[in-house]
Amino acid sequence: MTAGDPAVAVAIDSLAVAYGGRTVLRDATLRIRAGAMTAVVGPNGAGKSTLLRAVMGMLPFTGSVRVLGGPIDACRARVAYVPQRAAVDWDFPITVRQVAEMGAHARLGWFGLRLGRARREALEALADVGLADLAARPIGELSGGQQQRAFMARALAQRADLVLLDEPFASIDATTEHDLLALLSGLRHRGTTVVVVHHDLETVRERFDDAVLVRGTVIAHGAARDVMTAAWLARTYGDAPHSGKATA
Amino acid sequence: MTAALAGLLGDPHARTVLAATATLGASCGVVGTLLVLRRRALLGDAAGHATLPGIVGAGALSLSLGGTGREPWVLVAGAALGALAGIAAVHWIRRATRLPADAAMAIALGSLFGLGTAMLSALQQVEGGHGAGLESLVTGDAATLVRSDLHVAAAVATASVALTAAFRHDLRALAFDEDFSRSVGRPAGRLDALVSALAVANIVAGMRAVGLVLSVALLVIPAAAARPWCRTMGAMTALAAVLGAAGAVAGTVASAAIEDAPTGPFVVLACAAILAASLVAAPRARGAGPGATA
Repeated sequence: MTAGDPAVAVAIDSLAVAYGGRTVLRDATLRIRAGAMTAVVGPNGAGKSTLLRAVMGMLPFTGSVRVLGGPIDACRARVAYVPQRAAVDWDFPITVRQVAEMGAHARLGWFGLRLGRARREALEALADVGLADLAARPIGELSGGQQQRAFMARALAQRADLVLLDEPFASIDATTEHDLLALLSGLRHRGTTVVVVHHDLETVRERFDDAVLVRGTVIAHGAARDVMTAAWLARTYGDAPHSGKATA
Repeated sequence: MTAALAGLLGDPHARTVLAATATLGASCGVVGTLLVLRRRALLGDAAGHATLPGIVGAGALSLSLGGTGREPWVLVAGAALGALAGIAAVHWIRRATRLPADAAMAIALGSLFGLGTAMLSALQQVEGGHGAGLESLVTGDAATLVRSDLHVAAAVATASVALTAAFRHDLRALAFDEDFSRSVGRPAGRLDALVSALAVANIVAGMRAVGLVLSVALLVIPAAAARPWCRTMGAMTALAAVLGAAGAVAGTVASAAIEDAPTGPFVVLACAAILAASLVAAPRARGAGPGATA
C-alpha cells in the first residue's frame, strides 16, 4: 500500500517524536487501513498516545504523516479525536448536550448552529449512546462510563471518516465497554476508519480487524489474529507487566 | 446605606459614577468567567499590575512634551501598552526559562509592578507632586469618573458581551477540552488572545474606578461566586455579570461614606462578601459529581 492509496486512512513514514530530550517514538512506519477497526497496543509509556497525537498534528515530529490522503490540517473536520478522560476538566459548567454539540459544531460551523441543526444532531448522537435522558445534566454529575459515552456522542455527531480514541475503556464498566465497542463496530460497517488505543488483549483479538504493536516504534502491524501472537506480544511487552487479561 | 444611596441617586454626578461602576462590574463578570474557566486568572493579575509602568511612562512622556501628564487618552494608551507588554513578558519568560505558567506570571507581575512603582517615585521626585494624580489609578477613585468614563465603560462592556457571545462555542470548547478544540482546528492561540485583549480592555476601562492593582479581583471574584450555582457557561456568565455589577455598586456606595477613601478596596470587599455568601449557601459542593474524582 502506498501513501496516496485511498485504501489507506493514515500513512506514517519514518515518524520520530522526542520531547524533553527523550525519544518517545522513532522510525515508525505504518499504514492504517481505511474502513478497518485497528487497535494500538503496547505497554505503558510505549508511545501509543504520542502516535495518535502525532497523527492529529498536536506535537512536533519528524517524518511524514498523511491522513485521508493529505496533511491533517486539510481534513480536521473529517477526523474525530477523543482524548484520554484525564485530559478534560470534568468540573466544567457544561451540559451533556453541549459536549455532544461540539462535534456537530466542528462540522457545521456557525450556519448549522443558527438553524438549530447542531443541537438536533447532538441529541440524535446522545440517543445513539443511550444518554438521551441525561442531555440536560452537567457532565460532572455523570459516572465515568457515562462521560465516555458523552465523548463518543461527540465523535458520532462529528460524522467523521476517521475516529481516533485514546484509551476510551480505561476505568469504565464492562457494560459501557461492550456498548461502545458495538457502536464502533457499527461505525466501521458504515465505512468509518476506527483507531483505538486499547489495553485488553482479548477484546483486541475478538473485536478488532487489525492491530498495531507499539513499543518506542512499530513492532508489528497486521491482521489482529496474525499479530496478537505470543511471540509478537513478548517482543512488545518484554518484561513489562501485561495490562490485559491475556497470558501471551 | 439606603439613605446614602438615595442621596447618591439624586445627584447627576453620582448617577454617572454608579452607572459606570455597575457597567464595569457587569463587563468584568463576563470576561472574568472566561479567565476563570480557561484558568488564566493570574494572567489578568499580571496584565493589571503591568499597566502601572505603562501609565507612568505615558505620563512622563506627556510631561516632557509639554502636556499635563494626565490626559486620559495618553494614560489609557500607556496602560493598554503596559498590560500587553506584561502578557508578552509572561509568554517570553515561559519560552526562555521553561518555568510553569504560574511562576512566569508571578515574575512578570512583580517585576513590572516594581518597575512602575519605582518610576512613579522618580516622577514624583522630578515633578514635585505631578505623580500624585497617577497614584489614584493604583487603588481607584470612582468619584473622579465623568460622563466620558461611562461611555468608555459602556463601549467595553458591549464589546465584551458581543465577542463572548459570538465566539461562545469556540471559547467553551477550548476551556473545556483544549485537545478536542485543537483537534478540529480551532485557533487556540487567537482565542486566547481574544480573552487576553478583553481582560486588558476591562482592566484599563476600570482602572479609574477600582484601580489597577485590584482590577483582577473584580474580574475573578464574581465569576467564582457564580460558579457553584450554574450548570452552564452561559448561566455562569450572566450571573457573574449581575454579581459583578452588584459588588461594584455596593463597594462604590460604601467608599463614598468615608472621606477620601479609595474605591477599589471597597469594591473588592463587597465582591468578597458576595463570594462568601455564595459559598456558604451553595447548592452543591464543587466537584461533587461521581465522575469528577475519576
